[in-house]
Order: sequence, then structure tokens, then C-alpha cells
Amino acid sequence: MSRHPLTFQVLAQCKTTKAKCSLMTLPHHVVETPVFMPVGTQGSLKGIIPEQLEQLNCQIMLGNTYHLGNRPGPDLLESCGGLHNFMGWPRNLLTDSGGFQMVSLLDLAEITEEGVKFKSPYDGSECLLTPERSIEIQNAIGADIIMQLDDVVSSTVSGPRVEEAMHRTTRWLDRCLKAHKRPESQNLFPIVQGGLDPKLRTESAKQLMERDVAGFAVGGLSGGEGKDQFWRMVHLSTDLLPNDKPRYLMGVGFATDLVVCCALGCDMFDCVFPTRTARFGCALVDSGQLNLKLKLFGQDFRPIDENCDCSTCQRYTRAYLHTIATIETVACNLITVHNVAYQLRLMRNIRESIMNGTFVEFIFNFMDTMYPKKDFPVWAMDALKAVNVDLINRTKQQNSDS
Amino acid sequence: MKFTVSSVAKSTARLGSLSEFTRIPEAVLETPLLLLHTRGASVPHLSYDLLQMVSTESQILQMPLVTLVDHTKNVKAFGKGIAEFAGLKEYLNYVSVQDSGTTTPEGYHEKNSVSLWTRGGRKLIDPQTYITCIEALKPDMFQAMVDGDTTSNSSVKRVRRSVDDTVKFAGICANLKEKSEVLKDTPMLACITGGYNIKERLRCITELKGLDVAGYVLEGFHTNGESATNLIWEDLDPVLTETIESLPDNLPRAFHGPVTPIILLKLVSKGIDIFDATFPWLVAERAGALVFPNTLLKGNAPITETLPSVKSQALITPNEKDGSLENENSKDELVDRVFEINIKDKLYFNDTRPLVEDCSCYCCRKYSRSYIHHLSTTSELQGPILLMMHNLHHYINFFRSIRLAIREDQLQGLHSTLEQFVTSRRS
Repeated sequence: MSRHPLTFQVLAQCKTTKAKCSLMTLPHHVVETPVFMPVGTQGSLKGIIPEQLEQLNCQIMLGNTYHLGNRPGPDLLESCGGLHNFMGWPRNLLTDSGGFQMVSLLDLAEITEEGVKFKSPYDGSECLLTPERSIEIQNAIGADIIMQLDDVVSSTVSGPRVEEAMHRTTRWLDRCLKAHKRPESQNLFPIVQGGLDPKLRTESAKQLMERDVAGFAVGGLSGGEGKDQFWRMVHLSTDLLPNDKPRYLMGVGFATDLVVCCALGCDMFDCVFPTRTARFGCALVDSGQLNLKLKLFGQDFRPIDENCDCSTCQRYTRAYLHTIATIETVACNLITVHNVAYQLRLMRNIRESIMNGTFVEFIFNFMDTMYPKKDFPVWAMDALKAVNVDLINRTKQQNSDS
Repeated sequence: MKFTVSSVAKSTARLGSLSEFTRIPEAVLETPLLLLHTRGASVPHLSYDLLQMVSTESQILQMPLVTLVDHTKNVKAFGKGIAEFAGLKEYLNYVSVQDSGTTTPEGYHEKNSVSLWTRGGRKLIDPQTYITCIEALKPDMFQAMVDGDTTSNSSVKRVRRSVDDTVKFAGICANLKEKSEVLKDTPMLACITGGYNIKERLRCITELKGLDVAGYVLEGFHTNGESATNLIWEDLDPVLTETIESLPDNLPRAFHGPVTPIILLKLVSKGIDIFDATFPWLVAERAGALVFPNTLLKGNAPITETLPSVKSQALITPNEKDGSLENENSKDELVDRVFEINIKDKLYFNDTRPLVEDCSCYCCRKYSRSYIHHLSTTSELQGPILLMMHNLHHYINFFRSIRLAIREDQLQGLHSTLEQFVTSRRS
């Protein structure tokens, strides 16, 4: 086994669910998991500066290989000593492979065994993103965790294409591992594929686990499939993947999803939603979200959340944010700070409750606050039941957990 | 509010201070003073935390009513004034009528009112409504309502009308202020209009005599925004000289708008005391970073880098979305960018230097031109944040140098340094 620049120390395991609290040590910083990773697509978290992210105690953020590979490009990033230096972010970074953007952003992407063929949106020329090229760019960016190029199939597609993509993903992982030039400072994560087919998912996880890697991602989900299928695939994947390595569930970031998927045993999450919704004037709170553009906030002189300790809630009111939301970029900055603070606090509360052995109680409180009418989503009830948490019939679990 | 003139240089430039504001009595603000321009009561792109990273000193925020008028009802319901409403109660504030950073459309005159161009369109406002708004905002200082809609091209009739209206508005505002429980102790600045017509300027001053005002704003030389960056000094000079000679020495004089640094120095030497930070904002909005020398060079200062001539056109990366070249170059012919570098220029793609060598601002301590170029070309919101932090820092320091130069009788030196810089960049 080669030494990976990642150590993963499980601190506490929930006695009821699959949730666990761990310390993941990466080259630039220690990460407490379960962790939510904000997305800084083009080398900047839209609207805020890295200093503010550090103050929020964010330990790892994302960059997108597709965007960074175009601008400023790998050559410049390499000459600057990587993205950390370029963007003034001293903590951890994770980059995706670029494949997902290509398939989701570009209508003209064509996938062959060699790689993803697409038309450049810049000059219309034909480009090819191979596993080797993806890793080459990610090596230049220099993130602490990098992702393999995977063959992404929309989760609504079924049939032989899904199987082909699953096998190709493994083949591409081997090419990525071979092309990886900086294994001593960057961790390459494979991505479990297999669509919504339990057999293919199982096969995918098995194949990937035969490779020497420091952690795993669960991919191909959050792409329009039903939530019922979504949680079953997550549950299955975490059952297969080793407990002593981090499991990264890609593209998940709604509060309810985070709580449920932590219970299903995932350790890392990312999503653009909290920061994107902030730019549209929506602030996240325990009961859902506040659209600050609404007239009803015009004379609401409370902070977004009275119990939030972020710098926005310490100083600014809903009424003031209402006057500037979507008009002045300052509102973007302020609401983004709050929303990132909300996400990170949610994860901290999850971790603390796992450590204290009160995670099940936490789930109940969380769900009751988010759904005061007890209209819990069916998928969430089912998923939690699969890990021994019954939202309706509670007494037994609470006792067994504490 | 108390204004003290501590010294007057040979050039008639003067040093002084504003102090004893009711709400924050300990604040002392030295003049020539830079007001921090806001929109919607925030400094553009900078929240409180980011503003604190630029400067922790006492500042006065300039809050244009035009950017707030749609929300005065909510501020009134709040009851504690705009400073606290906007989360900026540590800062003093001054409410002006128009946004001096944004071009005010000419025309649209109606009896007994001025036009405010808000996001929702044109709003007519009369002096009574104006004072009601000011009462809701509870500023630390405010501008009397003014018709400053004149330029060097205005007809005599328009100029006369602007003086008539301005005098009338000032009278009504002063009267209402006197009777207002909220505003009676709030300092009000009266406006001197009259375009480029000395006779009308003097008439304005004469007709305003007797009003209890805390200072004067010289309006009516431009219609705000870009128009203030193209002032012709030869036109301004005689009008300004006569106007200022007729104003009392013991009251502060303000000049609004994004005038260029050289015009600003000339205005300082004429005896103007208060300016606003619209110029650094305007520059940041067009992806410009201020690079002009903002300090007095002592002895044989080392020659700084050779900056690209403003004659050579900037190379701008094609716009990602439609693949077309941005309209930047054609706009550049109209906009004088001699005091800044255009960070979108491909020149800076791999330039690892800070915006300004030896600049101590957060942006220059931490980031390269290359990174800010990247942010600007990808339209990331962090781009204008960093540019604004740098430009504001640069301008605050420029004002510190101006005050030092007056104290040391070196204003001319600062002026020639700037002139030399401009000449070298135009060659």
C-alpha cells in the first residue's frame, strides 16, 4: 500500500445509524467530518473573500476543473504554485474531474473510450478531455483531493449504457491513477457509478475498492432521479464502501438531505445551492429559507436568525437586507456569509451530536423544526427507518441511542 | 457640528476639521475630507467587515437619497435612523440629494420639485417630502434640496431657474428643519448653483445669506457620474475663484462628484474642504485599479514601473457567453483611464506583482494582478470587492497626503508629481 497524503481517524460512531464523526487530515488542514464543502467554481467563492471563509472555520472548499482549466488555465496555475497560492486560500481544496460540467453544460459532448469530446465554448474548436488530461490539469491546480474522470450518465437513463459507463469508469480510474504525477501531495478519489441499478452499483464499488485509494465518492446521483431511488443507492453504496475511508456524496447540500445522508454514513458533501440561493436573496434558517426580497421583511428588524453567530446576523437586519438584496452586491456578500455559516453550523451540530451519542435526538429535533406540521418527506422517513430511526414511532430509538 | 480651519496655505488650500457631531461627539474628521460614497446605504461591494479591512478610522458616509428614497418608509418604522438601519452606526453619515457617482438625467423640471431617478423610475420630490424623508433617515448632516441641473452648455434661462429653485428649496428646507424636533440640531449644507455664470453664482450666495447653514455645497458644474470626470479647469477656475471669495471662511465647502485627482488637487488649492469617494468607485466598476502616485515623493524616490500608455488599446478577452469582443475598447476612447490600469487587459494575465508595489492594502498584500485579472475576466464578484478595497485605500491615502502636503506647503509638489505621471502615461 502506498502512503496517501490523507489520514482518516474515526472519533465516534453512532450506535443507531451509520453516521460517524472523524478527523480527516489533508496536506493543508485538518477537516472535521461529516463536512459540507462550499463551491468556489472559478477560484473564488462568489461574493466573499477567503478571509471570511476562514473566519467561518471552513476547512475545505471546491474548485471546478472544467472552468479553471479554461481560465486561467493549468499553465498559469502551475507557474503560480497552484490554486491555493493563486487565490490566497491556505486551507484544503478539492477539484472535480471536469467531466460533469462537460456533460451538463455542453449539448455537444460525445463520450468515447478515449474521453469526453466536446466543442470549446470559447472558439468552437473540437476538444477532448481524457482521464490523463483531467489529472494533468488537476495536478496543476494542486488540490488536496482530486477526482477521477468518470463516465457520467444521467440518473434517469437505464439499460446497457449504464453498465458500459460503470465499467468505463473503472477503466478510466486506472488511467487516472497511472497519469497521477503527485500522489504524495494529492489524493485521487474514484467515483462509484452504476446508475440506479443495485447490481451495477455493487459491482462498481467492488471494482473501485480493489484499487489503492484514500477515499471514495458516490456519483451519478442528484441528477433528477426520484429521492426514493436516491437514498437507496446511497445506502447501498455506504454499506459496500469501507468505514475507515472517507465517503464523499457528490452534489448534495439541502439541509434535510445532509442530515439523512450523514445517517446513511456519508462523510463529505458539496453543493452550489447555499451560495447560489444567497445571491438571489434567500437566507437559510432552521425552518427552511427566507426570501428576503418579499415585502413582509421590509419592516422585520430581526437578524436573519437570532441564534446565528455569523457576522451578518450580529449586525444586519432582515429589513435592511430586504432593501439591498439582488440590488447591491453587498447583500450577496452578507447573505452568502450567513448561508455558509448555516451549513457549517448544521454540520458542526451533527458532529457534536454524534460525539455526544445524541445524533438520533438531533435528527428528531431537526426534522421537527424543519417540518413543524410533521409532514416529513416520505423518502426521508424511509431512509431513516433503514438506519433504525423511526420518525413516527420514536420512544424505542431514543432509549437505545442514549 | 463644529468646523475649524486650522491653517490656510498660500495657495488658499486649507486644513481644518469637522467635529462635535451630536451622535458621535468624539469623532474628529480632518479636512480636506473624503466622504465614503454609498448606494443603498452601503459602500459599493463592501460590507462592514470588508470596509473595516480598508480603514478603521472615523469616516463620514455619503448617502444619496436617490438610492434610499424607496425605503424611507421602512427606515421611519425602524425609528433609529439610517446609520443603525444599515448596520453602520459606528459611521457618521451625510445625506445628499443625488448620487454624485451616477449620471443624473438632464431636464424633467417641474414646479417646486426635483426628479429623483430611482430603480422604479422617476420620482418627483418637493421640499416638504424631502424633509420628511430626511426626518426618517435621521442623518448626522444633510444637503438642502437643490436644482443643480446645469453644465457649461446650459442656457442662461436654465441657470437662472436653477438658482431660483435652489434658493427657494433651501429656504423651505431651513424653515422646516427649524420646526422639526428631529432635525433642528442637524447640520444642513446649503447649495450654491449658477452653472458657469459668475453673476448667477454670486446672486445665489447673496440670496442664501441669512439662512442658518452649516456649510455649502458647490453644485451645478456637472450632472454627476462620468460628466464630472471631464471638467475643463479653465472654465471652472474663474467661476470657482469668485464664488469661493464670496463665501464665509468659517464654513466648510463641499464639491461632489468623481472629479479626477488632478482637478481634485486644484479644487483643494481653491479652498474646497469636502469631497466624495465616487471616483475610486467609478474606476472599480470599469475593472480599473488606481495606480497614480498618491504620496508626496521625498527626495530622489526610485522610479516606479513603466505603466502602459493610455494611447495603446487594452486587449480584452472575448466574452465567454456570446463569443463577441466586449465593447470595452470603443468605450475606452471616451473614458480617460490615465489614473488607473485596466486589469482586464491581457497584459496582466500572468503578472504576479500586486496592483501597486508597496501598497499596504489587503488586496495588494495578498493578491497578484494575475488573480484580479482572472476574477475580472470571469466576472467573479470578488473582483470588484478587491478593486474597491484597493481603490478606496489608495484614495484615503491620497487624502492623507493632501493634508500632509498642505501642512508642509508642498501641494504644488504633489500636483507636479501627478502631472508628470499623467504626461508619461499619455506619451
